Amino acid sequence: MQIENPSRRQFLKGAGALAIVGALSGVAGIATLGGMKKVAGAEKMNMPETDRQWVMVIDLRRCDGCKACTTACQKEHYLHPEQEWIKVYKLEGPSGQKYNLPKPCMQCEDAPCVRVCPVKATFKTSDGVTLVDANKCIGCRMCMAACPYASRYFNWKDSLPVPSTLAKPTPEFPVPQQKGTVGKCEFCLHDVRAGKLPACVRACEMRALWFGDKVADLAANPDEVVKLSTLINSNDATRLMEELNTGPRVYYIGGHGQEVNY
Amino acid sequence: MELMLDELREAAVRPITKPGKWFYLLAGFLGLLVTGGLAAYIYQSIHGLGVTALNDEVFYGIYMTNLVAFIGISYGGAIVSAILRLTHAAWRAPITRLAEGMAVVSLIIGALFAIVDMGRFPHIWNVFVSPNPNSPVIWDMMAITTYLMATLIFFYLPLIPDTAILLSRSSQKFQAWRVKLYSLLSGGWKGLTTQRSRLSTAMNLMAVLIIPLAVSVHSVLAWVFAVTSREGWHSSIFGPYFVVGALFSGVAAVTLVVVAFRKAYHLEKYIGLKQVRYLGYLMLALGAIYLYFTFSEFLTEGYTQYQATVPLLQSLLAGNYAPLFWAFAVGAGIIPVLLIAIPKTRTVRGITVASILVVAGMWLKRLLIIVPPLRQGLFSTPTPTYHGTWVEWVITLGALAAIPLMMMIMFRLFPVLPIHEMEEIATEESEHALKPAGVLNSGVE
Amino acid sequence: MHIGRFWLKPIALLALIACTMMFGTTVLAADSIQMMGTVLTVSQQLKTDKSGQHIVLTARLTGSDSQPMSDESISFGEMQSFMGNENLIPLGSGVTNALGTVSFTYVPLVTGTHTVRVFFSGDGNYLGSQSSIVVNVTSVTPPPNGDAPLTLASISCWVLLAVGIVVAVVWILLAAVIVGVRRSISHASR
Repeated sequence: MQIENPSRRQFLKGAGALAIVGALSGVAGIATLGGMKKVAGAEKMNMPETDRQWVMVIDLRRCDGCKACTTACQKEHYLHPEQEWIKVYKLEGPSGQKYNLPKPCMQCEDAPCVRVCPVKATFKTSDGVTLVDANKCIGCRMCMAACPYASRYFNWKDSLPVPSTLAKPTPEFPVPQQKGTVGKCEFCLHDVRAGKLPACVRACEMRALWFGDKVADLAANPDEVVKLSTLINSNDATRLMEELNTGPRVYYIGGHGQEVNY
Repeated sequence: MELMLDELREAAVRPITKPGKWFYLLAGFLGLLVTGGLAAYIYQSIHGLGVTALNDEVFYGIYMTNLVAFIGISYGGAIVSAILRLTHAAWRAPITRLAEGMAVVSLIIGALFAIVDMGRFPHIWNVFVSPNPNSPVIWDMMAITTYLMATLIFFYLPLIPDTAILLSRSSQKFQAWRVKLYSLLSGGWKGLTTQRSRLSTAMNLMAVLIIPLAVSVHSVLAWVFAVTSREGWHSSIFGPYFVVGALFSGVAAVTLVVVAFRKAYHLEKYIGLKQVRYLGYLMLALGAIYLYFTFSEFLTEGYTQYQATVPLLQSLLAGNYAPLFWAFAVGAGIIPVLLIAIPKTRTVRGITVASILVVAGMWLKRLLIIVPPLRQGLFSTPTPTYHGTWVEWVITLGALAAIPLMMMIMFRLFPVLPIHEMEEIATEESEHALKPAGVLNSGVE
Repeated sequence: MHIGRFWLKPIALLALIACTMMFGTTVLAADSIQMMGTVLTVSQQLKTDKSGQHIVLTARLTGSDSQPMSDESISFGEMQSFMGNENLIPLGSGVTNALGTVSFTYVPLVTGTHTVRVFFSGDGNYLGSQSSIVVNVTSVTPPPNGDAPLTLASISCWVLLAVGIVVAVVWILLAAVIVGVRRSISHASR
């Protein structure tokens, strides 16, 4: 049986195929090394970054569990009723005391979600907020697995219809949410960078939610401005799951329904 | 010897030459199931993952289970072709082709579930634009593609001489496209000594290389769960746990494939009780290790009675998931051990039953690793139950049907018995005066 | 003069009222005479060192007679606005020395113009007074991030690089095997 001398042809074919694969891996590798330092998705944002460090302080003594914060957030972002980006838990303490815990995204300094995202769709801004670039998100939900605070939510279906006057979604104002991607509290960065309080802070009638800036050392709710460090230190504010070393930016003043004068 | 070799070659191509009419019936039925699965996937692509029973608390379910289970099954190929090759276990000879073929097929189908589970697959090209080397998902993709390439190469190498042998058989006339295919694949094989030694070296090298690759794939799959801080997932045993589990379920799957093709194409002369029994013993050993790891995991978790762990263990051992867990423990643990240990049940039928139980039980076990920790939730809030919707089950069924279908098609292209390897091992054996030509007649026991 | 008994009570009452008024006004007159006004002046000195800018404010408290007042407490604050609300945020306080001055170092947290207000709240003898000064800040020291988490970033980079190299080597090996085998087989068959 006659077989043509294919050795050179076959070699070229085989080498060519594997060279393509090698090139792809090489590109991936170079993009990896190059992308390790870069904040991915930053160029997709449409607002200039600020030199602030945003934090939230939540006074559990004042929270009555009314969930006005949850509703306001859902309204602002056109979310479905089951998507609660700031969830209010009704919990019981060790001595039987009942208290309410509003929980937004912790915007962790060393965020586990940022660490595990395969395509760098979720990233930290320089002012401390963790954002999601829905154009990159492949919907693998590894970030949801990694988040120890269960603060990430998947878009299992299309978002509620949004008015056509709304601009295209950006990471700072991810409205409408895209089906098949992950969404979460983004500290209403679009409002905050323009000097307006987040939707939940504005909506809380008990004034349990404060929004602050560590750089200017100030915290505000719709009624007043106070010194952030005083608010945190004199009320012994703590953070959730401190031992996980995530560096959360939401401080909690413990309590349940006490009368409060700052 | 020549007559025996001719008989061997005839048997090896029996699926090609004499498929039987049941072949077309079965292929048609399996094809229907596969089409159903594809249709369900298209439906899911249009409507989104909301058509599954997944939610924000239980966001991994049947698809992730399938990903782990189907890739796990492919490890049967690694253990039979690679590990047994390195240990010179001659009994493996007739089944290496079946094992490797099953490995290729189940690996591809398993890897496809990563795509099925993805919310927005069209964005996958971002993996090349901005990959994150810290992500276990990226490690997954690198490990699976590398392992798939290695498995394909390992499947192909013994086909070089086998396709040449097919062409050289003057009694068999193949269609023109087959002749073209076989001559392309055989690449000038003439059975010369230099060629044999080169091939042998390459096979040994691949056997050595494929072991760390196999270990890496399931370890990385395990670490997708283990690097999170969730109770029930964040365990140091997960890497080795998943690898042993994959080997265990892989051997069971190889047994099923071997028994099925043996029966369908009357290969009893070459694939004997010995092969099935030894596979059974392997399964037994691996099962014992897997049960030991499970026990170690539960003991470590349960002894400290942490607030987060107690409800999880309770749901697995005595609560919501107890029926499934004990079905696994008894069905994939105790019963197969008994079936293989007791000489009376150590028959082809008995070992087949054990293998079916192991494959099914290990699928259940993967589900029990993934879902109960998610059902437990964080911040002690109740979570909705997860039973899967018709979309998930139909896609699973389609994938399950795709494996035998693809194997049936595969062995209409390639010989089902590794002719060259069997001849090689037979020559090796006949040089040992103790057992002349033992492997070619292993069915005669 | 003979006064009727009828007029005795009213005259006594009027005398009492007159005496009280005389006494009261005397006391009041004495107070208003003793409460002196005060004058508060502030000056600033900008200092820049390697940790950024800080401003040394010097406040001087004198009576309206220009005599320095010592041992008085002076407080410093700034009207800060944040997210649509503003408030006087206290910065600190100090006590005047014998020369009537007190220094306060203000480390600004953000750049821009700052209006620092200085207060003397007064005491029993003196009226309060206040002053303000505008400071323009161009560079600040970022606050130390005491709550920042520890990370192993520096080690993990090298680990990932090593893993990447291993993967690349494996792919090259796979390529070598398949190409090498094909070549050597077809080569030998000639």
